[in-house]
Amino acid sequence: MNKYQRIVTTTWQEYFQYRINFFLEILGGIITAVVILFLWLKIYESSGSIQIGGYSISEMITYIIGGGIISSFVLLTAQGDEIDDDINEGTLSYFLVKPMNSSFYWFVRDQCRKFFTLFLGLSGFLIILIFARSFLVLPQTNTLAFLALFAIFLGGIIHFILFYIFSIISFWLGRTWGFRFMIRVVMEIATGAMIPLSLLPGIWRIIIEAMPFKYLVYFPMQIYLGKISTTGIIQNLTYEIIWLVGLVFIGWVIWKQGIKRYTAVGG
Amino acid sequence: MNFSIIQVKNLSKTYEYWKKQPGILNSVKSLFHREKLYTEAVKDISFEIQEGELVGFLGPNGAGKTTTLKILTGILHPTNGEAKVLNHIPWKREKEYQKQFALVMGQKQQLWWDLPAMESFILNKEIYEVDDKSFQKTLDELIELLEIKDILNVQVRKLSLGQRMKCELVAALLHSPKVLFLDEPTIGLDVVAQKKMRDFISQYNQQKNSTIVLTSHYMEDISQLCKRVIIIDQGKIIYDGQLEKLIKKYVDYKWIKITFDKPVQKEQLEKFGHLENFNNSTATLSVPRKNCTQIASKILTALPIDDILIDEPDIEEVVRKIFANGFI
Repeated sequence: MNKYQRIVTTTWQEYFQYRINFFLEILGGIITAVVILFLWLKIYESSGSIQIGGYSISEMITYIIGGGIISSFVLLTAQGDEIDDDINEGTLSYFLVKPMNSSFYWFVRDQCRKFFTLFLGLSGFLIILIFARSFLVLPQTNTLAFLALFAIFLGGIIHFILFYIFSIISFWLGRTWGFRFMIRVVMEIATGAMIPLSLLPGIWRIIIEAMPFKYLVYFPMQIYLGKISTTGIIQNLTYEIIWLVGLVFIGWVIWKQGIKRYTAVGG
Repeated sequence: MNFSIIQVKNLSKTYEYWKKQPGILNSVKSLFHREKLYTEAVKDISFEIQEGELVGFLGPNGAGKTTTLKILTGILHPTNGEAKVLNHIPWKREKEYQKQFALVMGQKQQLWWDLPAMESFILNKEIYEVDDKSFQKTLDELIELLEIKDILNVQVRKLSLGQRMKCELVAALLHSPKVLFLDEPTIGLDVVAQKKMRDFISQYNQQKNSTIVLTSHYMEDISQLCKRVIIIDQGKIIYDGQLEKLIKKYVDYKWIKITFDKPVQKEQLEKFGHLENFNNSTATLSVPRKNCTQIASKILTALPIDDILIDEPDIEEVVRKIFANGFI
């Protein structure tokens, strides 16, 4: 077995130990999604219109549930804590003396965590899906479903790298949870999990659409619901990949500098 | 001529850091103005270590022992100087080098806290790309030597410190490293566990002919394990050589330990030598090495002796004196 495959299986076993904590955290996300869901139902009811911003009530419900499921694996409080701990507590030293790549190790573990929490999130949302089944909209083609999943997958990697960058600045700044908390606050709105970004007012929409968080919920759900043209999909996927490559590069540069500093001052 | 596994030449390491004064006000001030400070953790040290040697690094806290180990394992870049281990420059962190050594830090753990130690062992097997057969063989050997069969499947966090250190050692040794760096491996352990750890290290060194560099500030560790000792203080090597020679060459006195039949007055003893320790029925005298036998026989006739013993002074005592003087 390859070393990174072994990291996957070991990580899964470890996360299994934390299953209750993970589940409770995801439960929190589910509750948030339910609140937003009822809020939208109320809005539709009181406005009396069939569509709001181009979304029918079924589309909106599907959108919010989809956003909730995605959020169950990207909106975790502990995101990046492990990297922060390894750097600040000096456990990184053990990685440095071994024939392994610590950044890739953290990435692999993050992917494991995402699958683990996605699985828990899906099982939690199952109840809501059953209740809302008559409202659910399915994608028109398998291609759209696949493209939506692909966009989410890339978005997940972007998400990891963003938090990675704001964790490894620990090399200079010590503890960094404040920064990562701020990203999560921005993410609450900027992924589009509460409101489709097209409904945001003027300047806010421009600012938030300029950020990469829309690739997590808003963009894939647009693909899923068929609300974006083929050119739009290609264009946005290209931008998403450019974001990804750019962030990987930035992360790599910061890591190189950081590790230089770590090996200069010690862990 | 022997092949040197570790070669260190004129190695120096200077840390830079910001001055931090206590208090909230000063913390706020430091946002605008900070003072840079330098510490020379290691100053121009040189030494060589041959294959199969078990060398002890001895020194008080902050002497530069750990810094030296961190440089040799590639965790730290030196400020100046050269070092080669197994013909590799450590801080290049080459894979071929990393597969040939191991590091155990008594104060930091590599085992996964919430899983049984066995999981960490298997993970290390893959990281170091050890094949199944040699993994099983090494593991069986280590398990037997350290007597840890029963605890392999217990979560690491439920183990005692002694058990955990044993598992840490196993995790580090599974890829059969040629060089082993042990940074205070016995810290925090009770006397029995310390002894077991020492026995294991010495046995391992003899069986595998692996080179071991050990730091500790427990004298017992060094005196029981290492023939050769490198004493480091304030970043400088102040002694490098055999432990016995250190004592013979620099300690010009011996200890005469006496047990009396009847209580004796202090004054009666003081004329024979310097009293290190005294109560009514026992005493320890330090006397010049060259005429200690004459003095002993004089004491034997002059005082009511039950038992008398001529001994080397405690190594701990010797080193304490060395550190107090700062040089030899």
